[in-house]
Amino acid sequence: MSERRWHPMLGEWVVTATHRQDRTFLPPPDYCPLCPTKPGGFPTEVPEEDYRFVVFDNKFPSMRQPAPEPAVAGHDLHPVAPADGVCEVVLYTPRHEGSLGALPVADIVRLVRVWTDRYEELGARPGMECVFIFENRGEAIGVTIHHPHGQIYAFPFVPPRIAREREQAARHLDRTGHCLMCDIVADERADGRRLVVEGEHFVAFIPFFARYPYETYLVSKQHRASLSELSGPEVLDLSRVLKDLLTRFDGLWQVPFPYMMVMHQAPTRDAAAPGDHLHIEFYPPMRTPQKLKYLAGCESGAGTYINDTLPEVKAEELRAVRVTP
Amino acid sequence: MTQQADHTREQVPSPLPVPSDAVPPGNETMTRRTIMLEDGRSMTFYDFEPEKPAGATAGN
Repeated sequence: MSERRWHPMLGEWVVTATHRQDRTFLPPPDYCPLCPTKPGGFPTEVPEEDYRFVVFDNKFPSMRQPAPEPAVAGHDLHPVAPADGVCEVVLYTPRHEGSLGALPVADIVRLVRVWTDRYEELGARPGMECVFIFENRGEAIGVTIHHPHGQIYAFPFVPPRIAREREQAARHLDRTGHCLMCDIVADERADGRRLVVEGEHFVAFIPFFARYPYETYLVSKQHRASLSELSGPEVLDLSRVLKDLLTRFDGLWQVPFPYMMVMHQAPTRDAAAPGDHLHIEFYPPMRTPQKLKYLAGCESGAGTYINDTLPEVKAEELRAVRVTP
Repeated sequence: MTQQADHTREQVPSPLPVPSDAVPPGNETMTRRTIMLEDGRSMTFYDFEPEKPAGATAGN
């Protein structure tokens, strides 16, 4: 059962997806549903013996096309709508072990091309407004299958976090005539204390306003609205900086570093706004190897984050991690 | 779970340079092949092949 229910106090949609309670939960490696189906082996979700990259509809989607009619009747105070949308799974590798950061740069280049193709394909579907590429890594985030994979959602609306970001960018543009993210990148590069990795075309830094101890932004230094606008050299540099950053995450405490990775780029229904600027945000939930940064009362109930650390200090820690090419 | 339909492999435009530090240098062509699973979900396989040099033909 899945539907959209309107939150009248926050002015945003909540998606119900009760069938997801039954989804696969931490299967043993021998029964991974995302590995290829081997001859004589049990049938996994991928009915072939091998693959490079595979993208498929999530078996337990929170949104789908066509979406079923809502199971409840809405009314003026509580509007409901079908949970129309797309939920895809992206498998990075046929191997069960590994991670995005462990892929060779060449494979990350290929993955960026796959992401770009999905962004354009899903964004062109009728009714879809926003293509959202993301990855949850680690049990601390709630990952239920360890096989290296990411996800892509296509929403029939612009989600509130991205909508608010665009509103702020529009205000900044009106006030200064500049792209907000371009100004943030220029400021971080001029300051330098919060930079983590800098390539020719992309830069990674812990922003001045970070809410999590190791919250990191990976941003195009040139103004690019989406993956579709990247040149070949820019895709290559994005891949190199991404791998470098993820290697530093894992090297920080010599353990697989949990994170949420989310890509923000121009919505797809209309032309990009002048303030749409491609970037990837990472929200690692750990503040020490053993301690989580909880989104507790103040964060969840008031919407104000308390960061127990300074971005300048945490960026220095990540810069100090030794990365060998 | 088995596949029900196998669509024609299609080539995705715009080859990109592949970094020489990880695989043999040169451009690659990305192709995708979509199948339908028994439960109606679609699954797309992406593959990458070195771009054929201009003028190359089968058997070259």
